[in-house]
Amino acid sequence: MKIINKLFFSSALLAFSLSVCAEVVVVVHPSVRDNSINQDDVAKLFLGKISKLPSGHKVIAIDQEEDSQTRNIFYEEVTGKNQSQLTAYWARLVFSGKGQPPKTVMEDDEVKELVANNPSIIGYMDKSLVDTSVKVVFIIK
Amino acid sequence: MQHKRLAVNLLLAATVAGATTAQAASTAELEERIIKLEQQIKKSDRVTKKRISTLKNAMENAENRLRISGFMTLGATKADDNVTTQDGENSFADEFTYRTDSRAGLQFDYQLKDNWSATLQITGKGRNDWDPTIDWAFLSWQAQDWLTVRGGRLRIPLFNYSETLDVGYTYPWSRPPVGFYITSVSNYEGFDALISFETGPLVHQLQPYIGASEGKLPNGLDAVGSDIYGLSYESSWQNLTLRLSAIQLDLDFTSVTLGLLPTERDHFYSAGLRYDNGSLLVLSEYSRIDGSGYPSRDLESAYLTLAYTVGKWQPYYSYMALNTLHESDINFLLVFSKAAAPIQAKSSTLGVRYEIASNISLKIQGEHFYDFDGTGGVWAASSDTIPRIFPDEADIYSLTVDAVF
Repeated sequence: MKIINKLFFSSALLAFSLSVCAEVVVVVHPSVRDNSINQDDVAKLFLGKISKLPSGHKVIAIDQEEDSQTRNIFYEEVTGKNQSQLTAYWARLVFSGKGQPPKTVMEDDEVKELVANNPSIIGYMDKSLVDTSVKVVFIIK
Repeated sequence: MQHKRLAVNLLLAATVAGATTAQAASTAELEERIIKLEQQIKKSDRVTKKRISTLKNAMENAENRLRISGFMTLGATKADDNVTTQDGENSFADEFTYRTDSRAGLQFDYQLKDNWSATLQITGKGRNDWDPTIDWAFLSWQAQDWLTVRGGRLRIPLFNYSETLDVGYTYPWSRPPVGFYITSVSNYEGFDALISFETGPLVHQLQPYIGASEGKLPNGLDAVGSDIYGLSYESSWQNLTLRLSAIQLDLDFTSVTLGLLPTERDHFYSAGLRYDNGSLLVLSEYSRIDGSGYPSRDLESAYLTLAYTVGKWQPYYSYMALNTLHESDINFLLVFSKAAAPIQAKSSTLGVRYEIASNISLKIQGEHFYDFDGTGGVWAASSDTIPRIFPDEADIYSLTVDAVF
C-alpha cells in the first residue's frame, strides 16, 4: 500500500475508534414501570433535586468513582457540569445540611449488579455491558 | 514401481497421522487453556459478587451511618491600608497576613434511624485565633418526600451563599463581596423547614425559619437575642435559578442619653438570579435593609458577577454598589453615629480561579473599593469622634486555596 493510503487508513481507524468511545446509558431494575425518562429528569435525579421517576416510583441514585470515564461522560452530557463544578454544587448542599451526594460504587459491573438486584436503585453504565438483567431508560447520545 | 507407490502412500499416511496427532495435541492444549480461562473468570466473578454483597451490606450497616466531610481555606491577604469592616468581622492589614482568610471546618452527619439524622459542623477561623465554634448543630426529620424539618443551631439563609460563608469552594470569589454579604450575624437557634415541589420542569424550594439570633449587625450595633422570622425561596429551571428571601428582626437598643428605645423592627429583603451553563456564570443579587428609620440606616446594595470557565481556568469580574436610602433623625445620628451615618461605596473585583484538582482550587483576586464620597464606605471609622476619621478607599489582594472533602 502506498504511504498516503496507509496514513489515510490509520487516521480513519483512529477517528473511528475515538468516536466509538463508551456509550453511556441509565439503567433501572426490569420491574420498573417507566420505559424511558427524559434528560431533565435524569439530571434532577442525580443532582438530588427529585427522588422519584415519572411513574412515582422512588429511586436512589448511585455514582461511579470520580476517575471513571463513564461517570465523566454521564455528567458532562446530562448536566453540563465537570467534576469540579459538581463538587462545588454538592459542597453547597452538604455544608448547609441539605443533602448528600450519591454513594459511589466502583464501575460498570458493580452498577449492573446493584441495579439488577434492587428495584430502588438507578445508575449509569457503559451500553456495551447491558443485558436483560437491567432495563435501559435513557441513552446518552 | 510398486515400492515407490507404497513408499509414497506410507509417507502420506505418516504425514497425515503426524499432522492429526499434532492437531490433536494442539486441540488438547487449547481445551486445557479454555478450561483454565473459564476457571479464572468464575473466580473473578465470585470476587466481584462478594465485593458487591459487602457493598450492599455496608449500605445498610451502622458503619456507613456516619459521614464525615470537611473544608479548608488557606489564604494570604494584603490590603493597601489597615482597615476593618464596620461589623468588626474582617480586618485587613497593609502587609500579607495569613489569618484573615484561613479557616477549616469539619462536619459530621449521622443517620439516626428511618428519616432522622443529626448534623454537627465545627469551624475554626484564623481571624478568631482558630477558636473552634459550632456553626451548625441540628436534628433533621424528613417527614415526607417533599418536607424536611430541622431544629437546632442553623445558619440564616439570607443570600445565595449565606449558609456556606466559610466554604470557599462553593462560591466563585475569594470571599463573598465585602459590603454586600452579611457575615457578622449568621447563626441562629430555632427551626426551619425545607419544602420542595415541582411545577412542570421547574423545581422549587421554600425555606421558612424562626428563631433567635445574635451578633453584630452590618452597621456595628449589637443585636442580642433578637427574634427572627424569615423565608427563603429558590426556583430553578435548567440553567437558571431565581432566589428571593426576606427576614424580619426585632432589635432592642438602649442608650445612655436616650434610655430604652422602642423595639426596632428591621426587614431585610433580597432577590438573586443565577445563570450557569457550565461555561458562563452570571450571578447577581440585590439586597435592601429596611430599618424602621432609626437608629439603623436603610441600605440598598447589589452586585453582578461574570465568570467564564475555560478548561481549568475561571476568570471572573464582579461589580458591587451600596448606598443609604435616607438619613436618620439628627439625635440618633449623634448618638448612634456608627449605625446611622449615611454611607456609600462601590467595588470592582477581578480574579481568576484555577482548578488544582476536582476538589481543590486556587484563587487570586483584587477587590478595588471606590466612590465612598467621604463616608467611609464599608470600613469602620478609626475614630468615633466628630469629625470621624475614615481610612482610605483600600484595595484588598488575596491568594486563597480552597479544598473540600
